Amino acid sequence: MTDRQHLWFGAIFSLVVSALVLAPAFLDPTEDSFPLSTFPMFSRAKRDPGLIVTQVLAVMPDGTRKPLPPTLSTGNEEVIQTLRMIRDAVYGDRQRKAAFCDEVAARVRSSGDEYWQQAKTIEIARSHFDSVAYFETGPTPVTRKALKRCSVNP
Amino acid sequence: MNEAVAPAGLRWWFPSVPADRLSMLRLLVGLYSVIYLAIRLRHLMSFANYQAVQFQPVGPLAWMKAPFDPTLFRILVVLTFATSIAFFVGWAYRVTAPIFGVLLLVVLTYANCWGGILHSENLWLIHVLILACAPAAATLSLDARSREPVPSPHFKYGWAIRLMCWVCVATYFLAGLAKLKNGGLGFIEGESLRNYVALDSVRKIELGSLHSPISSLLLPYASVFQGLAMFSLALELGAPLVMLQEKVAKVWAFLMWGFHLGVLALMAILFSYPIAFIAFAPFFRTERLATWVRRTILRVPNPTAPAPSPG
Repeated sequence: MTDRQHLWFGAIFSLVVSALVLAPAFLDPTEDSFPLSTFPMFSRAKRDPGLIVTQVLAVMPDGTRKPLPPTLSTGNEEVIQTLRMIRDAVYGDRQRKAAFCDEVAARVRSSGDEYWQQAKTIEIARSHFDSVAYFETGPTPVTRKALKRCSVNP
Repeated sequence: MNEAVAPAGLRWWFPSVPADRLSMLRLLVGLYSVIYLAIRLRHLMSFANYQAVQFQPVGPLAWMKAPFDPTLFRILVVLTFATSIAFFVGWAYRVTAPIFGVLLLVVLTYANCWGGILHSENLWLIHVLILACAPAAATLSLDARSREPVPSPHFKYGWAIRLMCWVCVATYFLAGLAKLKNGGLGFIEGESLRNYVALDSVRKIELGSLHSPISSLLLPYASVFQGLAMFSLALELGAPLVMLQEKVAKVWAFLMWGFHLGVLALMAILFSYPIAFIAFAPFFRTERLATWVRRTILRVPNPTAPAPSPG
């Protein structure tokens, strides 16, 4: 390319990329996409420390409930995507919820992880926490409702 | 050879810089790409097995009605990794670099099509796309082995670096703007930030993921979060201004890096591209690293050094 062509190419390319990257600034700030994003993470006012989370728990032999790691609950490493995947599976139709619970149990059985393989039951639950009190007084949920249970070794 | 300077009026966006500066950025971004993809290969492959009912296409893949065929997607991931190596070493760059850019765009977008969009890969991807369309393999590459001598400084190496810097500050500015649009100036009171840190930590613990033990130590102190909120919002909204002064930009880069270290310490959220400092490398004279790379890794003489006088 000649110097003149380098100038034109650099100018046009720069303008196009800049316009694309800045375009989300003119969109609804609640909308998000990839790779062009409004970067809305942690942007909404959050006055209430309450958290309702749908989670996958392993009921251990002594009756305690332990949250399963994302790789066992959904097969995904990313916690944000795990959150959404659990929600989608649980609040879809009834058959899907049951199938999801069985899938988790199967992942635990075949995980090769002796600790998690001790689990008796998989419990999908909706739990309500006060996230600030969680660190001040202890990690007990304000409320917890079991949505589905299935045995690890049916 | 003479230095090529852009016409007056365009020199700010087209600064005349050494080819090594852009090539070194390719090496850094390329090395990051190879390592990141190698570590995440299994994770990326796992998206081939997801159920179609979970598919929520976004961005350039928003047109898709159904997921890729699993085998096709696995092939795309392997090709992305293979072309990342070509991008890193600068082999057949004019062909392999754009292919890598497009493949990375497709694979990363696909990985964000399953609910929950991540924000840690956007800047890296855009930097790759910029480098892929610039002459970033003029030196320190397999393509440049037979080329002698090292090209003179030229404005054709400068615009891409300026654009990488601009895109970097723009993404942070957008994050600040989103806070103002969604939460107003109340964000600087720190209450929202404190609640977010608490919510994020509890969510991670209760979903069986890693969380930061430091957050539980700081959460009782509301004033800490007010200071952090003001500091982070000022850094984000003020980001575009740092383009005007090179020294200020360097200081901002270090402060932003510190911000990401803070996010890692408080929320166990790893933004690996800025934490590795590669996101901010375009603000620095990376050609100095090139001299070190030639001497220490490639073990070749620095071609820009003056020839020793006879006798």
